[in-house]
Amino acid sequence: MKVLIKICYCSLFISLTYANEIKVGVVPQFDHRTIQSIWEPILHELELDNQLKYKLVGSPSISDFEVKFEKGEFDFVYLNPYHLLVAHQKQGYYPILRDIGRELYGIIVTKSNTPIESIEGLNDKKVAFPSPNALGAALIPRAEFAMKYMISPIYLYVNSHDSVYLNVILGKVDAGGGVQKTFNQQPEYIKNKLKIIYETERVAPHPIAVHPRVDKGIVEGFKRTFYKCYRNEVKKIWLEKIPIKVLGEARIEDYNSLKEMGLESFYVRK
Amino acid sequence: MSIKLKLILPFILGAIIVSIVINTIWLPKHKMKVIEKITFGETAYLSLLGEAVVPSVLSLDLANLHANLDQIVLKKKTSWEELSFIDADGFQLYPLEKTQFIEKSGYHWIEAPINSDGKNIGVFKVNVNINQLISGDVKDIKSLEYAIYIILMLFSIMSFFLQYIFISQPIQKTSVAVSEIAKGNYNYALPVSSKDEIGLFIDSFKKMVDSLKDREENLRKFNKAINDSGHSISITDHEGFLQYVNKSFVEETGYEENEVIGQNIVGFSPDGNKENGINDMWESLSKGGQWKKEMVNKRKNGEKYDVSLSVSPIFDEQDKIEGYVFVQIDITQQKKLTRQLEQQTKKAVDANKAKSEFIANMSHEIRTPLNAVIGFSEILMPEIDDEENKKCVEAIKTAGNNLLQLINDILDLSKIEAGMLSLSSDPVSISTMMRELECVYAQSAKSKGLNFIIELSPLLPENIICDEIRLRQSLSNLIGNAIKFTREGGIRLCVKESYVNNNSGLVNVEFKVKDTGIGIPEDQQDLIFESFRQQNGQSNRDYGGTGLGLSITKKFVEMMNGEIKLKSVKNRGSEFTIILKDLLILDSEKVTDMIPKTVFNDKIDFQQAKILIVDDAKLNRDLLKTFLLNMNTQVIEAVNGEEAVFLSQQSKPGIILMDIRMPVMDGYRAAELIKANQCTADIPIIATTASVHMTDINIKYSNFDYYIAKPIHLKNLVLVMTKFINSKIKIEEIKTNDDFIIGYDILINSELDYLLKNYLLSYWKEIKDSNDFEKIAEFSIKLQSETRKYECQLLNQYSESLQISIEKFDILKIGDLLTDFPKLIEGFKVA
Repeated sequence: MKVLIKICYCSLFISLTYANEIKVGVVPQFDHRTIQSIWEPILHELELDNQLKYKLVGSPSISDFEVKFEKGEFDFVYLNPYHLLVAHQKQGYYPILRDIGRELYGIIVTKSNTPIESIEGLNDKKVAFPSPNALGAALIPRAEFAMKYMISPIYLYVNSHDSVYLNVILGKVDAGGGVQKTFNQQPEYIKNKLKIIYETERVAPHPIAVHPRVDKGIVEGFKRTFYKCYRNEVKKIWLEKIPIKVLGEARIEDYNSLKEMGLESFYVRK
Repeated sequence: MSIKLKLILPFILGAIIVSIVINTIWLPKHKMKVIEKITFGETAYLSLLGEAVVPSVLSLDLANLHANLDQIVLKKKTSWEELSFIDADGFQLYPLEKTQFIEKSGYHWIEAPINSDGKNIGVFKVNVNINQLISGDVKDIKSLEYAIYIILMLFSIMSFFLQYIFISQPIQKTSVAVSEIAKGNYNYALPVSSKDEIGLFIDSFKKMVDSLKDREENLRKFNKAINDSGHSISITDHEGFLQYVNKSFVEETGYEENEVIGQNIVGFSPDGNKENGINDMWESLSKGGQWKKEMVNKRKNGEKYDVSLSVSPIFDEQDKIEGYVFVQIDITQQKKLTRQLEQQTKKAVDANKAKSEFIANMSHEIRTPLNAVIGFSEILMPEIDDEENKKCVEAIKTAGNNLLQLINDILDLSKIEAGMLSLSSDPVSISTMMRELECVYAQSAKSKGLNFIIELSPLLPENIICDEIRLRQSLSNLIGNAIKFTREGGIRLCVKESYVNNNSGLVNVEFKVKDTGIGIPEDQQDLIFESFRQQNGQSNRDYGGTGLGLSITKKFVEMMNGEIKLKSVKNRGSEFTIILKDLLILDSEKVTDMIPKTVFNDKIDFQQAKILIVDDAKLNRDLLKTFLLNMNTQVIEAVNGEEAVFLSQQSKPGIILMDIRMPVMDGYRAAELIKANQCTADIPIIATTASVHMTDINIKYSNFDYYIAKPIHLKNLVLVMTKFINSKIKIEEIKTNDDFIIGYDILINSELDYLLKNYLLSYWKEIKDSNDFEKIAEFSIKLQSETRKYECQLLNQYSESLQISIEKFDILKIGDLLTDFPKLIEGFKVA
């Protein structure tokens, strides 16, 4: 009986807590203000639909983000596939929604006027990556360079995809790693000076995962709001900015191939 | 160059100078300073920027580097171009495009090396737009320049308007006013003057305009006066060519103005001008003098008319004759009237002459018988012993004298009223005249039991210039009246000076005749000076008289620049005062011809003298002969002038007594002939006439030496004769009575004169008031002993009389004699 009463009290406490504030985390692949502008209308819509308070918890850096989700500070979190695997392993986070219309893969670019045409030509060459743990742009390529092509380029980490492309163009490095999406986002005069010489294996893109402590009802409400927005032409644009162009259900199984790549050994702990 | 331009020009020059200074000196210099400042500032800025981008460079976070630098470039896009960052390896990390580092005008390359931990990691290069950076300063400077331009322009505009308002406008208005005034519109209003130089200019101009206006007005009046003048006026140049003629000239001559202007005035002179004596005109005028002439002129139609022509030269500023003014007055009518007037005047003169002759004849005819009546009665008086007969003769003499006085008064009055009486200017000794008056009236006063006292002021000048006859006559009238109207008491004649101005030599003399008579009531005091008026209630029978005396006296006094005053209280007496003003004082030395003093015939002894009596009336000759009977004279007679001329040459008389009106030859002609003859020219001729017109002037311009008015009184005859014939006093006949020492000239030598007027006069002063008989006796003896050697019988007689009076203890006589001593010695004259 006492246990039952404690469970009831806990449930009530959790409900009240959730009712007061649900923490949402977002991988800091963009700067905080961009993330804020993307997620603010969505969170506001969630609050209206579910009568719950949603709070965007910012993370100044990837490492801070990693610390937070490993501690389970987020109720809902948007994160990359490798982080999902880690978060799932550490806190039990499980994916509920993802863009089902595309796949995540990395690209290797060089200056358009260089003779390097293949990955093999990058041995001992300077290759720039945004950061060591960037999934598509660094982690998967480095794993494939070592595991699949057996080459040892000189890696330089230049903080961002844009820096990668600029270092390539300005000749500071011979090649750089990025993703198709950031490449496409570059202005034409940048893209014109670059050429993609390699694409990595493809994996499911970033999911929205939920902490197992979160009530199913709240999770369902969360998902309902997302679908409602997805069906609304205007609000759909909110989701596209996340970016989720084609909303669909996500499962932990969708990320099994990634688990097989052995990325763990290439992941750099800070 | 206009005043406007002159006023604006300094501002234009100022603007040019400002422009040169700002654009060629200040601005370039300022640019240099600004470039240095900008270089320093931008270098510092790049260094700071470098520090900011060091992490991005070191981490090759080129996106961040680019993002940051893009922001900077955007921020500094106006002043920076081509910001570039080249790392230490020579890679240009920013921008993407390779920078060419080309120099551009208005730009300046700035480099800033970037270090990290003392190690160079790259360099910033940027092309700074200097022009843009200093554009603010340039703009400020240019704004200042433009502001100065605007201020200068405002000043020039303000100056323009101010000069327009305060200079140009008043000058323009004044200029317009000057044009109007030049046209003769003097009432055109000049601009209101201000208190500045323009105001002073306008005020001065106003004064000039007022002056011009006055001159114009005067000229207009002058022109009008000349043009409208009733006299013909013409003006010529110096050669006589007519330049102007007035209306009267045109009307008078009959010539039109255009006919005469430019013609020589000589051409308009009548033919007879040579006879008119016009030829001397040019000669007179050329000497600068005025020329006047009455002459006959001729009109255009040939008619002649009388004119009075006056020609005056006109002088230019160098005193050269530039023309002549001819003023011609038509005196034709005036001449006609003058001729008529002359005719009437001639008639009036003739009538007046006839009247004068009538009065003269009447006077002569009345005086001639009176001469005999009075003269013979005077002769008869001492000859008749019978008292009754003596009274009859006395009555005849008195009646004759009264009648003579009446005639004289009437004649005097008629002469005064006709303006024929003229005053003479004689040297007069007042003291002498007073002694004479005392001599004449003392006796008559004494006979009425009255005192007659004469008082003379010691400060009175001895000699003055006045008409002695009129003064004596006036005083005689007053004294005579005083004696006549006083029953008891006395008469006092006081003479004093009332005002003396030694600087001008003039004196006012006051003669006061005061009596204790019947007096004149106040209401009649003015009436008594009227002719033929006597005091009401005055009995003619008691007092006699014609009532003319005071009237004549008043008129004489007024003619002599004097006045007569009267103060009187009835029954207490009267006081008549004559004040003669501004009489000329004469020094004693200048008196060379004193009027002979009153003497009496029985006291005079002429030197043996032959006397020619000329008179057509036997009665008059006999009278004169009788008068001269006991005077040691030889008398010869002539009945007319012709005989007189003959006898004067034949007998050489010492003196001639000549009547004026005589048949055959009158006295004037006879005297003329006698004086014309060298042998007889020195004989003094004394006119004896009853004519009222014989005056001093007649005497002066005729050949007579003196005259005696008829009827002749003995004393007057003797008086005049002493002037021309040497005489001496008959001492033995002088009586020691009150009239003992009435003055006459006794010639003495200078030694005796000195002795008398110094030693003896001083002696006399010591004893005169002593009342000590012994001292007086000593004085008389001293006087006699001291003067004996000079054989002056008068002094001897005086001392003897004094000694006799002492012996008789006649105190009154002694007093009188002592009192008279100064008068006695005054009568002596140095020979």
